[in-house]
Amino acid sequence: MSAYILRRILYAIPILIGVNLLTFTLFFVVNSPDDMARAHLGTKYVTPAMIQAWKREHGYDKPLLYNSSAPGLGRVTDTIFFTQSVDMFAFRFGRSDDGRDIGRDIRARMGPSLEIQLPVFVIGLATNITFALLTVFFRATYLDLAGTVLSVALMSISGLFYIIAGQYLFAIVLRLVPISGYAGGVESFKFVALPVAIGVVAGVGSGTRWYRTLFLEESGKDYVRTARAKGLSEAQVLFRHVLRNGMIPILTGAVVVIPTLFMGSLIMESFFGIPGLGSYTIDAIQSQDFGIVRAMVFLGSVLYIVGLLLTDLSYTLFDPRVRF
Amino acid sequence: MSEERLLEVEHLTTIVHADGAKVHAVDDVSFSIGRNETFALVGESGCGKSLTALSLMRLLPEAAEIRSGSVRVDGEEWLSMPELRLRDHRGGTVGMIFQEPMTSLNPVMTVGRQIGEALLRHTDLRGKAVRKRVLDLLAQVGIADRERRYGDYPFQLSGGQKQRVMIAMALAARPRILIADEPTTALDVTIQAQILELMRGLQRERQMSVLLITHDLAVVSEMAHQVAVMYAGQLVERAPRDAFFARPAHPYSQSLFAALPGRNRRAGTLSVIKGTVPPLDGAFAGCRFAARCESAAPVCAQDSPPWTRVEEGHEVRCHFARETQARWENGKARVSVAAGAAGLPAQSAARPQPSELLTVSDLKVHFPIRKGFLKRAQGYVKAVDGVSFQIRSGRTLALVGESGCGKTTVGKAVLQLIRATSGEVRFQGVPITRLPEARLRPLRSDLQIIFQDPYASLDPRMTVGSIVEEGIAALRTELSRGQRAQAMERILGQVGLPPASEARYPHEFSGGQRQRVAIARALAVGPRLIVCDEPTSALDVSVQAQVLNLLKRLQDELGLAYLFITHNLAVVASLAHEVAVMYLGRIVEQGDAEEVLDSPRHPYTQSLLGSAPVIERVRTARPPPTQGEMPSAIEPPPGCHFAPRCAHAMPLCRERYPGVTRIHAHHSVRCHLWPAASSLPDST
Amino acid sequence: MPLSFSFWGHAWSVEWVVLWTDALLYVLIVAAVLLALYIRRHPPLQRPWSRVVRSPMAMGAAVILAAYAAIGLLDSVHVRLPIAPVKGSTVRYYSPELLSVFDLIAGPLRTHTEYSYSAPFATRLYTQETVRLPDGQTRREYPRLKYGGAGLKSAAELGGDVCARVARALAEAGAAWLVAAAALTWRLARRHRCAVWQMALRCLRGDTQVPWRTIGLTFGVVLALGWSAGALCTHYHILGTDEVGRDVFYLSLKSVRTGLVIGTVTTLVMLPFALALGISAGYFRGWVDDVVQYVYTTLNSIPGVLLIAAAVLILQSYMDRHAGLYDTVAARADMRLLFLCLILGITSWTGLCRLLRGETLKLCEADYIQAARAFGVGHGRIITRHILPNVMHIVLISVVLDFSSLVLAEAVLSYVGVGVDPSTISWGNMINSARLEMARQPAVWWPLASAFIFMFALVLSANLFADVVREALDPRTKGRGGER
Repeated sequence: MSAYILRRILYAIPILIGVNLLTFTLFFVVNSPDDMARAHLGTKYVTPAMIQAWKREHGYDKPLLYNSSAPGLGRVTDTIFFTQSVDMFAFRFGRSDDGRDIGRDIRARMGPSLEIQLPVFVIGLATNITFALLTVFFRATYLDLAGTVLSVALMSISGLFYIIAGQYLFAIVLRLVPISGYAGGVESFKFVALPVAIGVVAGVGSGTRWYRTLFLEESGKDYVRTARAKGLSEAQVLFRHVLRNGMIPILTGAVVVIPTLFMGSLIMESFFGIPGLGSYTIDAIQSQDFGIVRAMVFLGSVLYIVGLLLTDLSYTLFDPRVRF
Repeated sequence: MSEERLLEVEHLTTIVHADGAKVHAVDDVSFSIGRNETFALVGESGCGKSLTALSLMRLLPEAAEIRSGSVRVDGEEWLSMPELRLRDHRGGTVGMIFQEPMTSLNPVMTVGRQIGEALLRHTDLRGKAVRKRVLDLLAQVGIADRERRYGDYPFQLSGGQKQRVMIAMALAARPRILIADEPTTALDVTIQAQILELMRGLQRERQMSVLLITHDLAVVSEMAHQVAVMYAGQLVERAPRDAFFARPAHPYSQSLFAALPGRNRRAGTLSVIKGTVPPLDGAFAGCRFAARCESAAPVCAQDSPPWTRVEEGHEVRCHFARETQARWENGKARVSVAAGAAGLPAQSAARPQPSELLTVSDLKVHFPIRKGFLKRAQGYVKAVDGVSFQIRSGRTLALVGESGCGKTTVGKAVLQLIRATSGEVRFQGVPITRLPEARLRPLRSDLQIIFQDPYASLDPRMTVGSIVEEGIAALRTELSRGQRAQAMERILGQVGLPPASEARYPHEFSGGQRQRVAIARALAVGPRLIVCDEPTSALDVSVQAQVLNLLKRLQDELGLAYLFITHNLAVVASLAHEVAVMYLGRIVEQGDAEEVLDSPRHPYTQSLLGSAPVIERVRTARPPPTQGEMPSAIEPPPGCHFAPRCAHAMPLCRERYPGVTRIHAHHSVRCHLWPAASSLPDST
Repeated sequence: MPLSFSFWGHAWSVEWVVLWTDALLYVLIVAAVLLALYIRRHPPLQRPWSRVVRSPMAMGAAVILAAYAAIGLLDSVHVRLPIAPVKGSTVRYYSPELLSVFDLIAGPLRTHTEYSYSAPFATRLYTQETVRLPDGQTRREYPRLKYGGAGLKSAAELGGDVCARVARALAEAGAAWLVAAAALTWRLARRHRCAVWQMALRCLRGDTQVPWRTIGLTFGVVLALGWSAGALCTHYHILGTDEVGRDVFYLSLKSVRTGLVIGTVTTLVMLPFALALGISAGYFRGWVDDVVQYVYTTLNSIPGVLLIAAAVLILQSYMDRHAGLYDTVAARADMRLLFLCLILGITSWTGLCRLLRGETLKLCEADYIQAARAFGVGHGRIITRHILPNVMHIVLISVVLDFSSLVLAEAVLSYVGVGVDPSTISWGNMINSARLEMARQPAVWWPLASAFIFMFALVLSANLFADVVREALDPRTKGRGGER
């Protein structure tokens, strides 16, 4: 078991190196430090000296990948790529364009993001499973048909619509909650309630449909017939047998997203003015702050890989057949 | 009479909705089962026997629906009973076991809980008492180490153990009727013998009635008191067991007997039933078997035959039931079978020894098991562990063994589809084990293969023409387009397919016809040796006979050699010249077919032969079945692999693997019971 | 490419311009037609599709999809109109403005721009303007629109005029529908060798294999809606106007092409990667498999939106620095659209690749592949003859399933600011530019509502269609129930 975990963690390293290489290519090769400097200093009245100064200030005055002038190992280490990568792997994200410490910003903004994402995840999962079980329980009836059609319709609606319509209805027309904003502590409930509700509703269509097919596939299997032949009621068959088997792919599939919940939701946070990582990212994208975007890409990959590891481990938890 | 009967089924009709068509899968079926009686429902696949059983329990799949009829248990009508009350009877009055023990148990629930669930549902037992009863049940169905098994999950059990657990679950609430739907079809022959023995014992002990559903007449012969034969959704014959086996009166029943391969049919042509089962989505006029019946008269095609009583308790749905039965009793039906055997050359006698075609020596195929941090091989599955044999041209070597013994791997390693770990395969004296793929290609046309499942072995997206042509295109590039077309036509004719089948797709053919296509594909490149990997085990008896006959005819005409891989000894007897018996990666006994089958020396061969159910006119006592199951090939037991199951095992058997003992020129065995007088080098 | 032709007595001379995405759409259509022909010729491939054709739901959805496709395709043939030649010069010059055939057909819609927002069917502007009266005084009022309801003498006539136009449009649409239905029935009757009235009766009863009744009904509804809209839109802004006075109905229709391009070209771009990598990973195993798995795990591990955002940001700054590369705004916007498809493709091929790898692994164990290997058939032939046809259903299912999520993704990306070029008309841009106006009193709801409704109709039909396709093509859903 521990050998397995160790191997998986070691396997994550080449993946992170790959991610790092990719983002480096995007941010430093396609868009060279000179371009960055020019973009920041403005296109007019820029002298080469100013560009050099800007690059030195940001530590971008070294060669990109290979330093032919440095001695020994320094040829590789004394480069932008190496210093930047080492910083990344040490979770030192540097400073944003407006001079703030990115690492500290990220830590501060994780909380509000989680406050929305976690309830959406938990309530959403419960809701989707419940609805899916209901449609399976009433399968081949009009209730099932209506449920299926409804979920297709729900999943055909743009996520933006849920947010815009929800905000308009509950915050502007009914004035039940504030339009946007955030406060810590107990106060936060009234700011978070609407985004959470919208998040759940927006996911219910596709979730219910996906789980329904899983449960249906499961309920067509031989062991379900065996359970019925024992004289179990339809509800007992569904809850004791079908649910347990169907939950394996559902839970293991859900586990992978748990770590990425930290990343927040881009759209929701920006619409509701939640100071989480989602709005942080979107602001960075809109103000073209590459430092933050790069940090978020790296963080996202790390969290995804943690998610993969958790998925594998969760199999041992949910599925007696899997042992390491 | 009615009060004697526990289960009465009358005019049961069940239809299945399939793609807009209504398939009359069960059509006007009536029968009844008495107390303590085993009633066997026999028929080939698709005849509706499983749906009949599911209809009784009202456990039909969604696409099926009961149209009419009545099912009474103890005089109580079940078909109109509210679902809620019927649930008390499911598992309570009637227990059911299914064909596939692998998939019929819930994979994520422990064995103990699954059995306990039935007790909680139907008895007042709670808490500790449930556990105790479950353990009792596990003991009754012969599960060793039951304390541990109680907490095991199904994947931790072998196939035979799973079926035992299924039986324990079905019997937990002491039902009065047990429905067993092909309970042993998925199991190996030695395990089948164990399970049948168990069921017989439990039935006697518990005074149960059993509805046994099977396709295997031999199983019926061993188990049943009453027999009903089902064909195309209808019952065609009902009789007490002895009467049925002595005097079957429906032409269909008779042809089933005639199509069975076996020792007495040695080297003869098996009689076959022409054609296939008619589709059931239309209306029938006349007898459903008429189109395939050898003695059909005009009336058969027009009027549906009524039930005719030929003797006490023996009823047949045939216009000419008495005549048919009389013909059987006069032995005419059997004479026609025997006639085929007459003209064949004698087996071993004066024929010149054919040349050696294939020589396999000390072949080993080990699959590494990768584990741990660096995924290094931490052990091997020794699927094939030192196998040697020869095949001469025009001859058939049958490689016999139970599932998991490595026989299929041998076949693939001979063809170099799997590369051997060590050892050598020579074809016509040329070693081919280490040849690179390019050098192997010229030999590919000499060595061909036919697979077990004709549904999986033909590419569903290709026409029969392009399937057969694939090999010609790849290996006989010298042929022109026109020559290829000619070759194709000739080959399709050889395997008995109409030339028009070329443009059709596999799904349009029945299982037997598909297997003909697969044979045609192999034949197309002009092979000298064909590896036949269980070519008939997925087929019904009547179709199996067609394919076996075809293989035999092709051997006579073309001088083909076969490596015939099978678990079915009856098939071996009818086809093979030599036999090699495999157990856990090694050949334990080999020699001339008649020698090995008539006087088996290895206890495992004896057990295989003894376990296979046989059809007897009058039931006789059978030796107790061999205990235990084949161990894993990862950690084979020390010494002789069969020792843990062997009734004759000696201390020596658990220490050393026995060497080869030559009984005489054409018969050798590896067993310590036969100490090697002229011992060959030991290869432990 | 200059084209000259005469049409209705006018000699037309235009320059045909093929944008990158146009070219890819043409390729896609050719590929789809070829695939359809191939499937027609191979019964085992055709069989599942005939189940799709027989499903009323799928065919109803298909009619709506076809309507969208027609608009999108008309909008994908681009031309430049000639400008009046300089006197004495024989050289013909073409306008720098790129117009599509759709633009030419919808001419008035494109040119009827107002000053700013106006509500659907409004005759006056949504905002007050300072108007100079003839007597020189100024007054704040809601000015009359230049085009919307321009023919009306007073606002009171609006209802009557609209009803009259709709009634006439419906009558015309009905007539057109009847002609089409009659022609179809006649053809069907010929094919089935029965009388025309019998065929008509069968169609009406729904007693045909292909659900002609549903197709006819859906077609009728689409025709009625389209005809009425067409009759009204020249005189009114039926869905209002946007901030700079453009007709929202026109914008919604123009967005169709953007949605279709994103939904289809993306798939076209990623398909070769997914197929080549997925199949070779499953077939060759070993180090090939390791490399492919590594690549897709790495790509997968980067959050999709962020990867797209990063790539688009970089592209944007690259384009800003090399502004001279594109001769027209449209070409530049098109480049960005294509790039967006590319980058969406890069982030979305991994799922399909993994599915294909798994299926190929399974197929390689199939007996018929073993049989082919026993013939010494080469790898290339095994892959093209056996594996490719047998994984085709997975590809088709994922293509139709991806389409709707890609259309939806466009809106979100445009909102984030990393979607299509701001000058490209798309539902995402419509939503993005109008979203803040919901807070106004009264709210400006029509640009949002139009974008959402047009998107919803497309995505819903695509989802319903995809549902049936998956059901029909996926071997796992076939043959449920029945004995064995």
